[in-house]
Amino acid sequence: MRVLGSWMDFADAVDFASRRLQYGLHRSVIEDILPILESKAKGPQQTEAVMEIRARAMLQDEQFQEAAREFGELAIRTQDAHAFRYESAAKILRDNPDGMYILNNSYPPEYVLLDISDGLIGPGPVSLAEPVALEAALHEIASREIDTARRLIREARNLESIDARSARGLTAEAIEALDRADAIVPSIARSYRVELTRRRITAIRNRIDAQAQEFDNQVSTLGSLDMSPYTFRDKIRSLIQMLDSIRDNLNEVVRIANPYQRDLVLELSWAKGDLGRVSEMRQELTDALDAR
Amino acid sequence: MPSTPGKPPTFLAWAALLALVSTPQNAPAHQRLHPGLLREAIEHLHAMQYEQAQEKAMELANCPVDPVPRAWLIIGDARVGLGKYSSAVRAYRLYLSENIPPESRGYVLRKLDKCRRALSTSPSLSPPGELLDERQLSELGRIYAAFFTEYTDNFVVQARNPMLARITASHAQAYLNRISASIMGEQRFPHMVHVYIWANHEEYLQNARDAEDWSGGNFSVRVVDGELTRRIDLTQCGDDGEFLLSMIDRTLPHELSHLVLLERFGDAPCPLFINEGMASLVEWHDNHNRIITAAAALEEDPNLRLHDLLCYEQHDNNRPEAFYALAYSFTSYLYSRIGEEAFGDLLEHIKDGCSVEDSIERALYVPPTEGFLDDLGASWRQHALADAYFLRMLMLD
Repeated sequence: MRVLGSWMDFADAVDFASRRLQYGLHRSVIEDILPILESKAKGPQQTEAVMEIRARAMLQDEQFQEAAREFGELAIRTQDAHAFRYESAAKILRDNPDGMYILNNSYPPEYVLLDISDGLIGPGPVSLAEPVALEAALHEIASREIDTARRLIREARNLESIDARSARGLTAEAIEALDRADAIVPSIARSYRVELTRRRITAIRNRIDAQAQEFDNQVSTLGSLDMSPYTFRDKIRSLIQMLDSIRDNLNEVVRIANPYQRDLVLELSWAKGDLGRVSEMRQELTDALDAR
Repeated sequence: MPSTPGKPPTFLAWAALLALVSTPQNAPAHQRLHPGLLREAIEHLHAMQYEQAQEKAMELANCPVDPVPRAWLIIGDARVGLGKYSSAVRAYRLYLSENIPPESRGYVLRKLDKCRRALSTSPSLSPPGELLDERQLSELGRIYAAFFTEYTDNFVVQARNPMLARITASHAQAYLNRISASIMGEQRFPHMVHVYIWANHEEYLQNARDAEDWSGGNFSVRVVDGELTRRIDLTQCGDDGEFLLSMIDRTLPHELSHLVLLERFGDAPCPLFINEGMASLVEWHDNHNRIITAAAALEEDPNLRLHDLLCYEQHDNNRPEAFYALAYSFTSYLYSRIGEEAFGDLLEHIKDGCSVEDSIERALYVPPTEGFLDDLGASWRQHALADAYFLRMLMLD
């Protein structure tokens, strides 16, 4: 397609429009680019990309209701995690129809600490027509989701030893809140997920320790009892089953720790080391079974 | 249309009404009446052009056809910028009287608090050195045979001088209230603390609990007769027999900060840099020497990494002055940049077992970023060196 005198494909045209919005050239996007993009968009993905450009352009043009409607429409159409982001954007605009938003903290939040002043906004009133203001407002929603998750995690921790079922329910709710936060600011909830994973690993590890203790007790009776070959084989089979159960638990540790290899390096190396030992022990038991 | 009963609408109102009905767009009336005005007012505010910001916002707030009550917030902020705190409070109250989103209420309440503090006529707590004259200082150096006791809500102070016991008790309570607000937020420090002021260094070493030879004051928490007791030991006079003013404005708040942090952390370990950094930060004393010492330590070791400072433990501590200065420098940088609320959050995350890096990122609600600590270290280093440079320049003058 030909956009402002240049030939480009659809993805490049969307990117071009997006960059023009960053430079505050929303009028040109509305008048010159959007009509072309809208006529060429094919399939849901391209339509949604155009709708997002349109929503952002409307926002910068201070057509706040129009932008809210567009973001609301996008939230309904989008299937993935972005839906919550669009829904939140629509809500911010519906709650602030005059386009003024009160930022509680400066944004980006780390800029003051890192001594960066270029691009820093807030705290205080900002116009949502400024490209970065909506990002800042969305960040505040993500922060509130994190706070909700923290409260739920704390409540779950207090309930864990009294009512494990309710604690699991609260943890699941906390994870949903973390998902919503991540949908707005990718990876913002990562350290909380690591914390939850570490606590799950500790619970699995306690289970494994109990299983290992039981396994050791059973093994110690193996040599001392005068047992028939049938009983012996039965015993060995039961020991193999115990090892398989430990192995399954260790595999679960590896599975849940894998996305956070850097943070859970000790937990991972412990689980992998134990998996190796379990495998060797299982082989010895299988050999003993075959020998009889 | 809002108009005073019995009074004909003004020409301005008619003109505005005409503009409103002739614009077909489905937007709030004020946007059609004053397109871009709200944004303009905000932009003036950001550019610190407070008069213009106020003027534009007033136009919106007092619009005869469709007033914009939210503009009172801009007016309030502009008036704060102009130093007109009383009228700013009025503007904020008008803003708060409207149906505003709950999440923006916090910002306005903080601003109101700032205005009230600026308007407050009550004198702030001043360091004793500024309040005491020569005669009083000389009296504070007198050592009586008996001990005198003074009480406050949280303190029992015993000293060999009645005036000293009284002054120390009132300052200890004021310091505690300030330190608790910084470290414990809305929680109150619930315990009694026994403060013993010994006549001189010798008596201090004989009687203080676990006192180091070089120290002039310390705190201790110990079970006595089945009860957990909190105690601070201090020294009244120096080797020259003169009253040690630094005991009240420096040592007392320093030791109190340790006690409050201990209360906040409970059994969880508190990183040494925060423990000592906060204790230095709350001292009522200029920290010029610390700023210069910190900068010298950073200049001396360009490879000194923030990570090392954060992990410092007591047994690594072979250069205490440099460590205390660096701990003060970084803690004050952190505290002043992220603010009291986020700092409280940071302490909570550390208490929960997070690393300092994770805790800072969590307190700021930012995703973990590779190299964040190095970037923070570089910003702090630059700031610490610049601070020391300006201080040296001032000293030269």
